[in-house]
Order: sequence, then structure tokens, then C-alpha cells
Amino acid sequence: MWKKIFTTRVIINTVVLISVVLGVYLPIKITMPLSPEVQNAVHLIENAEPGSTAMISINYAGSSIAETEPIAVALIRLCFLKDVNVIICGFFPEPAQLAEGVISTLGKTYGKKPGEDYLNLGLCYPYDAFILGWGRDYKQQTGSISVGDMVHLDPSEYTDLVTSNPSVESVINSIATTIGEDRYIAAHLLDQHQEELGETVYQLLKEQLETVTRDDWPILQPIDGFGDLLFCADITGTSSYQSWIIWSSDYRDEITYFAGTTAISAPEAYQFLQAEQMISVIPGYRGATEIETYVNNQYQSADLFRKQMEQAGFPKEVIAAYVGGASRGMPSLALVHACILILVLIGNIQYFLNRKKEA
Amino acid sequence: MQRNIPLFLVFILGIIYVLLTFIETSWSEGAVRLASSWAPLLSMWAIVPATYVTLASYGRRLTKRDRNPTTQKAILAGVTYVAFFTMLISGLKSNAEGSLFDWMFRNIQIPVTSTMFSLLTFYIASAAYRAFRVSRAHTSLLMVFAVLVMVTNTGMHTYIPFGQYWNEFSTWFLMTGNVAAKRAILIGVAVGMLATNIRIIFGIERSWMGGGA
Amino acid sequence: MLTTTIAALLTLGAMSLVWKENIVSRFIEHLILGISLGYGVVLTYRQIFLRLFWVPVTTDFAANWILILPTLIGALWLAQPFQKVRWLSLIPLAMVLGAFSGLGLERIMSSYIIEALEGTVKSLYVAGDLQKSFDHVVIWLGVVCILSYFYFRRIHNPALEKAHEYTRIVGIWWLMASFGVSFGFTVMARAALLIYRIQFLTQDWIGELIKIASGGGM
Repeated sequence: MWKKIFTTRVIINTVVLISVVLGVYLPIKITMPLSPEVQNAVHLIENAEPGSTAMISINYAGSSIAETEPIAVALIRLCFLKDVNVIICGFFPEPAQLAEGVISTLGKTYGKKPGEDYLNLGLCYPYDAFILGWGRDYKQQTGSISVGDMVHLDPSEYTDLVTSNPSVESVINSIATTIGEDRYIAAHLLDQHQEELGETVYQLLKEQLETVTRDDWPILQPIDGFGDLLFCADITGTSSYQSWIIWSSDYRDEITYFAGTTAISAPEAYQFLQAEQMISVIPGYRGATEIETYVNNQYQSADLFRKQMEQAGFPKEVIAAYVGGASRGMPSLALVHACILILVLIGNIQYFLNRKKEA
Repeated sequence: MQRNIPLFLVFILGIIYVLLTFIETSWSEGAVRLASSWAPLLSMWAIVPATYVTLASYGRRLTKRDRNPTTQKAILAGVTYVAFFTMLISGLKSNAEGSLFDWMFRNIQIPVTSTMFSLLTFYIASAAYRAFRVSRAHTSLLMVFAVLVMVTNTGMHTYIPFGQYWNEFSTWFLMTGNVAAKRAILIGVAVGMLATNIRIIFGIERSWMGGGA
Repeated sequence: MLTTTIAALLTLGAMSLVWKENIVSRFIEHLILGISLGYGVVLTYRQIFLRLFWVPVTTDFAANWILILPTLIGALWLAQPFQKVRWLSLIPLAMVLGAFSGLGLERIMSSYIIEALEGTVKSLYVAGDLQKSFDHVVIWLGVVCILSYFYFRRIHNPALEKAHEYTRIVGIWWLMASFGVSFGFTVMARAALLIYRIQFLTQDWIGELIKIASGGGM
């Protein structure tokens, strides 16, 4: 009976599971210095002039979030700590939804102002048009491309209104989450809530919406194209990083580009690094750990980061995910790999013993 | 005759847009932008037949018109329906943070999809035990490099003798040997992509038109 | 805590698939199918229909009326489930496919082939930098050997045929080594996801449950 339950497969799975769980609790310390392929990106941010602006497109979803979100967090942290402004966008709906969480959490943690220190362009679809358009005269773009015409209302600026009319808060919040979407859609949302808000408040918000144009975003003012950006980066769970390479090929001399990829796409990405189509590859969990460790050692320790997040009032699970990032999983990662290596070894020993027997 | 209309469209548009890439004027850029802004509107309706076909096949299970109907299948199909309509109705109402739609996305969809993919670790471990054999020179080489990368990716090399050299070699290989191989593959793929694009434009490749084309 | 518990139970349920397919894992599969479908429809409606069509057209008709055209043509997709008129649904597909096949040609050529070749045929000797020269030679050699393996079965020229025999072998070996690298990276990718879920279960869920049970507060 035991033989039936403890099949080889079950034993292997159990061992793998135990190794991961052990890694979570064992106090193993694994340090990962910056590898050459990650270094360029980090040094670029480090040596940037305060106030320069970077653009990061976030293109990961649930299936790859574990490796890619830590890259996004570590990079944006470094940018904020070095006073580099960040423009965020997403090429697909699901990532765009996740991107909003990352940038607003870190923005709030570091006391950055939306529109001034960071901006979320939201869903930038179709992405080919977006990349093509940003290269040249993006401010002249019209039509359905969402670049520019964005609206962001900060709920904290409307405290008086909120206290006088509680339903205002939820409406402002829902409009605030359309940040990055067209002005049209925010106006549409506002119209839907006209009755709830009352005429005065409605008019006030409407006016606010209509007067905000893309030129009002301080962060966008000095930027006319890729050449004015410190760098463009894509953090992705798919091969969207190659879309950047393809569609920005006309601006190769102006754009400074790198990609944070999943470990699966990383080996393929190195060739673009060698061909100088990008300056860095940040390969999945390892890359994230390297940047994270570097930022923690050089600029702000994990404890300080945790405290800052606590002060900003984030719940425990959010803090744990952001502060721990990738490095808290490194011991588990090493143990699982060791486990697989041992399994390969045992498999081979068995194979040779059997072959000997057969001979 | 009817099938010639799509083929004709592909041909005309394909040729126009190939030519447009070589013309740099404001109107050619406008035409490129037009294609990009029309593409989502042209494609968005595809979700309707896709959803309809999926739901219809589950509907057959729900109403037990399936080939071998069981109560369990019917209940599970019911789960799909309930999940779909809950998501649909709540999402049409609001997708802002804190809405039911957002909650289900963050607390059901994300955890479950990432768990599904994470399960592959177990299958990889099983495969590593069963299939990774140093029986031939080719497979041995594959294994040597797999081991090298696994050791250096996780920082394990800091615990083994000459670990630093392992790491240096691994980094070097990633940037050179690996680049060469992946590049040769990419060039092969790109030539294939070019050929496919040309075949599509000239109506030689018709698999996109579905069966019997 | 309730939210975390629900997410944790679903995670455990999905994990049970490793043991054996069971009623819980099947339930979760069906649940996710429904949710993903709903998610797709809602996002298409909100992000594409509303945002790129409905709202621009209704707020500024004069500037955006042209968008009605692609939307109407796109609606031909609705003919897809009906055998007799299925060909109509090929029209919007043909338009997108045609335009992007054309647009892609030059860009695939320049980004994937020309720039890749530029990276490969960098000067094989870099003055004063032996390491770089060596690297360039290695990359060049690798690409040539593997491409010769991909593209030539047999060469009908005695001298070249001998050379091809060797480059083919080197090409195969080279590919195997790079597949090893890919395998190593794949293990890391999958393991990272598993760790992410296990951390969630052990720390964010069980850890918090223990704290609550021992009176640590919510």
C-alpha cells in the first residue's frame, strides 16, 4: 500500500516542496553582486542628473509576476531614490492594471507627486503606434492614441469636498484610477455620476477635467521624444521587449533602451545586448535580486524601506511583497536548484547501474 | 468568389503598407497611424464569437445535451457560467480598485494563474530525474551547461571550489556562445517570418482563412 | 484576512493538481475559465470599445466619426459562428493581417536580420583588445556553423562538403549547449513562481493565521 502512495513522482514532488519551504525559513544569506549585463542599467540611473525622466513599460501578468514585479519595484525604487522621474505605461490591459498598483504604491511611499515626479500613461494600445509616435512629435498626436490627453485628480486635494459630500470620494477615486486614460473617459465617468455629485461639485470637477491638458503635466514638459528620456525600459513576461526593438528601430541613435525579462526569455535577449540594440538585460529573479541587493546596500536598507512603507500606511502583505522582493526567495531558489541537480545526479547513477546490470 | 474578397484585401493593403514604409512624409506616417488605430476596432468584435463558442460548448454540458452527460460536468459548467456573469456584470459596473471585478482579478485570477504555472517546477524536477541522461555526447553537453547556469544563477557558486571561475565562464558564455546560437535561431525565424508575410500578402499562405481554404 | 484565506485555499486547490486531478482542481479550472472569459470581455468593452470608439465618437463626433467605419467592418466578426456567411468574418481579419504583414516586412528585416548581422560581423580583430577580438570570432563562428546546419543538408562541392561536415557537427554541439542554458533559465523561471506561491502560503497566510491565533492581533 505504501508503495502505491509513495511513488517516485510523489517523493520527488515532496522533496521539491520541502526544499522551497525550508528556504523560506532557513537563515541562509546569498549575496548577488551586480552582473555585467545588469550593471549598465543601474549605473545609468545612478549617474543620472536629478530631475531627468525615464519611461518604463510594464508588460507582465499573473503568469510571470513573481519574477518581473520585483524588477519593476527595484528599478523604480532606484529611480525615486536618485530623483529620476518615472513615466509608466502598459501595452496590454492586465499589465496596465498591475502597473498602476506598483507606481502608485512606490510613489506614495517616497512622497512623490503624480504628474510631477511620476506619471502613469495607462494602457497604451496599440503599442506599435505608441512607440512609433513617441519617437517623434508625440505632442502633435491626435486621434485615439492616448499619449498626452490624460487626467489625474488627486483625491487628497479634495478633502473639503469629500467631507461635505461623502459620495464625492468614491467618484473621485474612480476617476483617479482612470489616470492615464483619455480625458474623454474621465469625462464620461463624471457624467455618469452627475446626480450623485450635485451640480456645483460636478461643474467644478468638469472644469478641472477640461482645463487639464497634457502640457499641464510638468513631467512631460521637457520631453519631445526618446532623445529626452534617460532611458526606456520594458519589464515583461512576454516577448514584448522585442516590440520595442522593432518599432523603435527608426530612432536607434536616440533611444537608450533595456529590458527586464523573465528567465525564460532572458537567454534570447542577450543577443540584442550584444548587437547594441539595448544596453542591459535584467534576467528574471536573479536580475531583480541583484538590483535589489545593490539598492539596499548603497542607498536605502530594507528596514528603512519597510519603515517608510509602514508610515505611508500600507497593509502588511503589500509591505512584505515589496520589501522582501526577490531576495527573500533566493535561499528557496538555491535549494530548489540544488534539489534538481541532486535528482539529475541520482537519475544518472541509477541509469548507469541499470546499464551495467543489463550488460 | 466570396473567398477572393479577403485575399484581395490582404494583397492590396499588404502592398500599400510595404510601400509606405519606404516613404517618409507626414501622410505616410498618418497612414501608419491609421492602421494602428483601426486595428483594435477591427479586431475587438472577435471576442464575441470566441466567448459565444466557449459558452455554448459549456452550455451543452449544463443542459446535459453533452455526449456523456454527468451531474458533475453540469455543475462545473454552471461554475464557469456563474464566474463569467459575475465578472461581466461587476466589471461593466465598475473596474476601479476595490470593485468586485478588481477583487476577483487580484485574489482569484492572479493567484491561480501563477500557481498553475508554478506547478511546472514539479514536472521539471520529475523530468530532470527521469530524462536527463549523460548517455550521449550531445545530451552531456546540454547537461553541463544547464548545471553551470543553474549553479551560477542562484549564487550557489559562492559555496563551491573555483566558483568565481564558474561564474565568469557562465557570464562569458551567455554573452558570446549563447548569443551566437540564439542569433542563428532568430535569423532563421526572421527569414521564416518574412517568407510567411510575403506568402500571406500574395495569397499563397491561406491557413488564416480557416479550414478548406 | 478573509481575502488572503480565499486566495490561499484556491492556491492550495490548484496545487492539488500535482498530486492528481480531482474535483477541487477541476472546480478551479472551470472557475478560472469563466473569470478569464469575463475579464476579457469587460476589458475589451472598456478599454477598446468605450475608450477607443464610443467615448471619442460621442464626445467629439466631427473629429472622430471616421472610427465608425472600422467598427462596422469589425462587426463582421459576428458572422463567424454561422457557416454560410463565415467568409464575411475574414474581411476584418484580412485588413489587419494585410496592413501588418506589409508594415512588418521592413522592420523585421532591419531589426532581426540586418542589425543581428551587424552585431555578428563586427570587426573580428579589435586592436589592443584580445578578449573582444576573441569574443567576436566566437560569435561569428557560432552563427556560421549553426546556420550552415540549418540551411544545408548536403553541399555538392567536395572541398566545401568536408568543411560543411565539420561546421554541421560544431553547429549541433553549439545548439545543444545553448539549449542547456535555456533549460537552466527555465528552471529558475518556474521555481520563482513556485516560491512566490509558497511564500504567500507560509508567510502571508499561515504566518498571519498563527499570529492571530496567538493573540498577535489582526
